[in-house]
Amino acid sequence: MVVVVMGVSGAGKTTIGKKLAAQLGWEFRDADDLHSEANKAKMKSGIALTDADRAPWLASIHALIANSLARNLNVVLACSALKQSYRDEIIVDPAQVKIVYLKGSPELIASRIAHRTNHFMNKDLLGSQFDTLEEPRDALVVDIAPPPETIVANLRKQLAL
Amino acid sequence: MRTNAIAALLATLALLGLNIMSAHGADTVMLKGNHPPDAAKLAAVSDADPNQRLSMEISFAVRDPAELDQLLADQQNPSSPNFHKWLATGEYNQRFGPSQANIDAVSEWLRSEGFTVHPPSNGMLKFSGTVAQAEHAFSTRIARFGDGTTYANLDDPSIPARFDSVLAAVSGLDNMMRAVPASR
Repeated sequence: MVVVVMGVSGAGKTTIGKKLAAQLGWEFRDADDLHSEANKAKMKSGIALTDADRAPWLASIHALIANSLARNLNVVLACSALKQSYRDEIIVDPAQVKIVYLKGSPELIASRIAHRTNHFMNKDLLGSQFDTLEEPRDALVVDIAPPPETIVANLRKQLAL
Repeated sequence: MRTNAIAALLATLALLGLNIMSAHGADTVMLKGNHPPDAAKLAAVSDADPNQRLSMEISFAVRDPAELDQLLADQQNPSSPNFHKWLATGEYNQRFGPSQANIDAVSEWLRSEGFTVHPPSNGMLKFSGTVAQAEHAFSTRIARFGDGTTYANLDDPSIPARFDSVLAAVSGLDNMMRAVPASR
C-alpha cells in the first residue's frame, strides 16, 4: 500500500508522513526529492511551477509508486498533489493508493512556513499553491490544527493500520 | 435549546477556570489537542446516546523523542549511514514504544472504567465501551451534530496525571475525521 499525504507547502506532509511511516515500519519518501534542480531553483526564487515543469516530476512519482506496489512495499509518500489531474496520474491503483489530505487555513499554514528555514519553497508561493489547490474527492480529510501525534493516531485508526 | 445552554454554561465555567466535568478531581491532566477543532464551529443538536458503543484507541508517547527525531532526519540525509534505512515492523515499538509496565497500567485503568481492552497491536491499545463510560473516564462530553450521525467530544479528554508523559492521543471519541468529499 502507498499512503499519499498531500496538501500545500507547510501543511505538515513531511512531519506527519515521517511519523506515520516510522510507527508502521514503512518506507517514507518525499516527492520534493524527485523535483529537478531546475524546478527547485524556480521555487526557491518564488517562481511558480507550470504544468510542463511538473510533468517529469509526476512521471517520477508515478514510477516510484508503481515500483513500490510491484515490489509489495508499503510506503508513505509526502506529495503536494494539488490538482486532481496530478492525483489521477499518481493513483496507480485506487485499491492500493490512499490519499490523505492535510487541510488547514492559509493563515495557520503561513504562520508555520514563517518559522521554517530549511526548505527550498519560497513562502511567497503559498498563495499560488492555494490558487492551484483542487481539494480532493474520496480522500481522508485531516484538520492540521491538532498535534502531530494526535493526527497520526487518528490516521492509523481511520486507515486501520 | 437545552444542549446549547449547557454548552454555554460549560464554556463560561471554563473561562472561570472551573471544570465541573472532571470526575476525577485534581489528579487529572488534559490530553491537549484531542478534540476535533471543527466541533467548536458546529452547533450540537443533542447529547450522544449514552449507550452508543465506541471503538477507541490509545496512542502512547514516544519513549525518546530526540532520538526518534534524529533518526527520521538521518533517514532523509544522503550523507548519513541511516539514509533510507527504514525501521522494521515492530522495531519502532522496541525502540520508541511504551514499556510493558505502562501498557499494563493503562490497561488496568481502562478496565477499571468498565472498558473492554484488547491486546496491544503495533504500539496501539484498542478498547471499547459506551459513550457514558467514555464521558466518565475522560471527563468530557460527547455531542451529536448535523443529521445526528456525526459525534465528537467537545473538549480535550482528561486522563490520570500519572499518565501525563505516557499517553499521546486518544482516538475514537469522535467520527469527524472521515473519508468524505472535501468542500471549498
